[in-house]
Amino acid sequence: MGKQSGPRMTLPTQLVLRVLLAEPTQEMYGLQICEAAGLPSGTIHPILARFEGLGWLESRWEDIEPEEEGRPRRRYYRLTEDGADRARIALAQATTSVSTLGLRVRPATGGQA
Amino acid sequence: MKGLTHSLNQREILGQQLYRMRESRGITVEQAAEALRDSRSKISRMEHGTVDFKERDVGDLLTLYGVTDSEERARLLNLARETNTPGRWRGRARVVPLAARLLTAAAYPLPDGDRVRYAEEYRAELWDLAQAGAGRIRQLRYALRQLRNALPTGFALRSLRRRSAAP
Repeated sequence: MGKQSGPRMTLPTQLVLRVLLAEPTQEMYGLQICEAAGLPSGTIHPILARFEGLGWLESRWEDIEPEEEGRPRRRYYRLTEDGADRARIALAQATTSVSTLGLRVRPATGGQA
Repeated sequence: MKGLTHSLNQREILGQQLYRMRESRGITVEQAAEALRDSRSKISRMEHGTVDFKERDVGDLLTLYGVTDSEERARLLNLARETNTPGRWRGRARVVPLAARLLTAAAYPLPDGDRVRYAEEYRAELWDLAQAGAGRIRQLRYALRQLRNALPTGFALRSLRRRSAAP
């Protein structure tokens, strides 16, 4: 009986990991990840929360003063070093993988360190 | 241009800060409404930045939230005063108030320690969508998706917390 350890590699999960791995040192915010992955906005926070809890992702607030900028600050996400390794392994092991479906990940743009 | 749009931005920003202060102190909307001798919907409208702020209301809320530092109070009351600048620019892409309220609801079922963070995060995404030109339907669709994902997100946060709390 094969018990699957670690997070379920659903297709959206794989797409999110692929986007993050495309530029592992780059920080991205939720909407940005959605757009690059081709996923509808507002659907990936369960995935992000899970990986952040596992320590694969770290997040921080954008370093601006909302009052000065006149807009809310964003929440940026980035793979940890350990997380990047685990993500690569998990993707490689995923049984129905994104690559077999021929889905392409759009290149990520933007994001500030 | 900034002067015209500024008052609208400032209302939302001040509203967000008031929300954060209330939530982080575990004060309910009812308690806040009582402090102002006003309705729950008034508090909700203030926190979503859809009404003008009366300095007196903001002052009473700050007192309720235990903000006694005179500099901090002055800063926020000043902000409230600035939001009452007359004249709104109608052409600018705006956040749909109903979408903002739905997002507050989407953050509500999350664990106490996460609620404020996610509420702020969702609101920032809504802002970005509005700025990118998303109209009413798109903004509402976004908010409804977050609402639908509230339980999965809460579950992900809680199950991980339980795991890390285990000896």
